[in-house]
Amino acid sequence: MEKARFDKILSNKEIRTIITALGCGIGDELDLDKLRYHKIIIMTDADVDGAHIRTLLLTFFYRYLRDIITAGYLYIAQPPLYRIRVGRETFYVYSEEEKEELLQRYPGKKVEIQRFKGLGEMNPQQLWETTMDPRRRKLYRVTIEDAIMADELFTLLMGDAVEPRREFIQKHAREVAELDV
Amino acid sequence: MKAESIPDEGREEHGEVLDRDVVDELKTSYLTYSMSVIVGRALPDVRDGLKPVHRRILYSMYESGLTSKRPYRKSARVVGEVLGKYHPHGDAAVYDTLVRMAQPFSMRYPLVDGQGNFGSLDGDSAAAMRYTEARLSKIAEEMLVDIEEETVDFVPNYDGTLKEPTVLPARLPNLLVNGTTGIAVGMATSMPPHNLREVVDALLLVLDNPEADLREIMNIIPGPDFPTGGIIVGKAPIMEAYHTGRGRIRVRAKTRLEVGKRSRIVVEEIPYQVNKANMLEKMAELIKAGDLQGIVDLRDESDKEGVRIVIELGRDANAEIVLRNLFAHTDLEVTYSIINLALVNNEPRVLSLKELLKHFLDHRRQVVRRRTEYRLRKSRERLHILEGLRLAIERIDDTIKIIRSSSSPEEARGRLMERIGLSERQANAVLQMQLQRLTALERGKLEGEIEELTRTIRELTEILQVPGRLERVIREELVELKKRYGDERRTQIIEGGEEEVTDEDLIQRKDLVISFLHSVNPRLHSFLHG
Repeated sequence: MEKARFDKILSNKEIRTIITALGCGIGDELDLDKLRYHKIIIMTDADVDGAHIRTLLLTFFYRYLRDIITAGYLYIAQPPLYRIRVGRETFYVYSEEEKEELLQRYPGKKVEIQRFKGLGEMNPQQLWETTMDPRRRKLYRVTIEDAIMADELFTLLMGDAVEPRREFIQKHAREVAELDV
Repeated sequence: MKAESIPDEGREEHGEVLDRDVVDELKTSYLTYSMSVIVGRALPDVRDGLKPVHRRILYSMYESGLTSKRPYRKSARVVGEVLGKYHPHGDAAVYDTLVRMAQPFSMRYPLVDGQGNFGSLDGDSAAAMRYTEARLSKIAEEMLVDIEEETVDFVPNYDGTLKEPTVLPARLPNLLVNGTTGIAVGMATSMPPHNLREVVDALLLVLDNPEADLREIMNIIPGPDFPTGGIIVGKAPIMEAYHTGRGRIRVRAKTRLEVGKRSRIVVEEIPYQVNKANMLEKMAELIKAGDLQGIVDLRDESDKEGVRIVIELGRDANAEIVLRNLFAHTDLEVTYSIINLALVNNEPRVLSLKELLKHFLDHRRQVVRRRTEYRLRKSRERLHILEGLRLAIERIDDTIKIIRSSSSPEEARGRLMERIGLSERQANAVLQMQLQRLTALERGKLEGEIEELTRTIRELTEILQVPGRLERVIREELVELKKRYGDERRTQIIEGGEEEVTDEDLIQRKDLVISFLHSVNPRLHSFLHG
């Protein structure tokens, strides 16, 4: 991804669609005045493959549309992890802690837990309620706090050298909270 | 967080917006993904040699009764079950895995018994899953045997409605005999298959003598044993790989020279995981381009009985040199990379052969111990019931009097416990006892069963307590496994000897006279010998 040549990136249909939709050009020709949206929200599945796609999209924005990030226009959506039904009530929870908290409030009750792994598991109305409705959704705005550090990390994780990547993974293996097996 | 229907209005942002540093986001997401691939997808567990998708297929087939003696069932049904119950991912990945487990040229000991077109050495893919059928192979059942006896841990499946095993009991040393390949993130695994007889013998050696060194082990396991046979060239690289867990070995096709007016090289076995059709195509290209000399015809006469590639040689070709050229420039010889990377307690580790053997034995110790504990507990529970029945029969008149004079089962139970001295479970059993138990024949049977149970309990206790007894059980089961499924080695191993082939070795030796003439380019006269 990192070193993939520019024309190879442009040959990707989804990437082309994104560039067209943004309307602001790309790379050296980026012109923020022509940008058609001021909220560009990355919304991927709430599973580990979604996390992977998110890293790829972030790399794309960071390498070719960085001004969009520095201007504060890039966001990440927060789809729920679980839908929990207790009796007739339905709750959407966004983290493991939230789930535990909720379950503790209903000891002994019969609860039905659905783990959302893909956005496609939700009906349009559900997706609106949980993730898209501007009045209630949770968003992360992507910021670049330390450009040098960011640069190094993108090169490390998306670059060609395998050895440093493996070292990084081994060093941080224990920090991983959620594993999908 | 509570869901309710709201009108589609008010588009201004009222939700929560937090800042997220791109470094944090990238790091977290990338690690989540890469660790999931490493631990939960691409690498096998050192104990059963399976990745989650394999384990889920085998367990799901076992659970739905699709064992080796039952009729085949459509692969599509198996795939559907696996997806719906345990593996919420793509159907194609599951079917491809199922297919590979059934291919006799991919697996040294196939775990799936397939009916229909499951692909070929030429890289043809299997028929679609709506056509093919599958069931567990007999040897696959050895992976699952004893799973009902609390031998392994179970965890909830992805939606918490079912339980799935975290590892299989695996009486079969699957990782060693079938090998594995997988590409994770930042690391990959590539383990060759081995011969079951040899692996079992090596396990027995290490079981008896944990200090056995690699030399002793390699007297038993001289090297990998591929389902497709072939020849491994060079013993030193094998030793290197077994010692460090990493190495590169050369695997060569098995060929035969048929001498006649026109000699021919006949290829009877090709290297493991080489696509025969692609290899032949490449060969033909090289011949056409003039890079492979001395070959006049190339035919693939392989059929359902086996591989037979015929390479017709020209009249004056030197078979030895043609063959060397073929080994050097085509997939008739390949380099097989060994990376013994597997998960030990969910951590990826590169392992030596000895470590692989030891980890398997540790797993078997664990499984046999847990199975024995389970059986012991069940036997004791049963014995307890039988002793209650015996007590009630000995005092049958009192028992009947108590029951007849009680107004409800609860009252009868309580009084039986109090007056006869039964436990609650014993009292329940007495209340459910059939009257035929009172016949002399049944009373004899009861005594017999008690005696047998007592003996079983003694034996099981011994396995758990007497040093060496547990190992004896492991040994007996391994020997049995070898007897039932052991077969001859297929891959030959030869000394490397010549090692690096230089370009000069690939040129046909001819006697030459080189004459120089003034002001003329040197000319070559070659004299060919008969």
